[in-house]
Amino acid sequence: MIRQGPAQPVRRAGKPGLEITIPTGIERDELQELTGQGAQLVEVLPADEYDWAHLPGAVNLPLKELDARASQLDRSRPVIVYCHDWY
Amino acid sequence: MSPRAAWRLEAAGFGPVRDYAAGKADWLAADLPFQGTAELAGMFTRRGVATVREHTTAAEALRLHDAQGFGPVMVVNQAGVVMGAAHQDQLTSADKETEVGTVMRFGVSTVRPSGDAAALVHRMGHRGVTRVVVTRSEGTLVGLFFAADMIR
Repeated sequence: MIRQGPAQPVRRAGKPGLEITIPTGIERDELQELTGQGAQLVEVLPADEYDWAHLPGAVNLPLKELDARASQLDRSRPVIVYCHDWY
Repeated sequence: MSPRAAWRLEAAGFGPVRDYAAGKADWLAADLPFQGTAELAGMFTRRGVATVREHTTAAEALRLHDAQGFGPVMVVNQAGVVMGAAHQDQLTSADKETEVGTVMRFGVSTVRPSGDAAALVHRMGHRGVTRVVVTRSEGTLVGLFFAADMIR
């Protein structure tokens, strides 16, 4: 399988205080491992698509509502986002 | 869509945020559990289908076929990837010691367990097909989907 990126987020330092973390990819096996350790799963598709099928334990935060509803997430735990992807 | 969401959550101070880019399609095609109202092919697929290796004898494959009560017997490799299918007529007409790999059907059409079950039955009806082989995205066997199992 092609890895989506490094296993851990990469920190890119700019000016002091402007450090950002680049979201990195994750594959199925690692997702299962991380959710087993308490990571939060977030489906960002509209509610009807979430209702049709979603990964066990995932919460639905549609992209359009993400900013308004992100407070529902636990800031102390890693977050894994996904959509559908028709590859 | 998920990369945008990941960036927005990172910007909002969440972290680490990871993006499962292959998404729900990858998960469902791998025959993994899900929650929701979908009725997918995998839910109606007969599991535990008899399997043999290419070097299995026709007599042994036929014995498994008869014990199972339906066919075909699936021919898989050491990784469980479907290599072909051995049908009753091929097995009965072959010499008992013939290796299945020499009589099996190679061109086996497969579907993913993530396909919509009703749509699959519809397509099968159009093509006059009564059963199809269900495999995960990496080609490993899930089982056999019989249209009749849905229609009942």
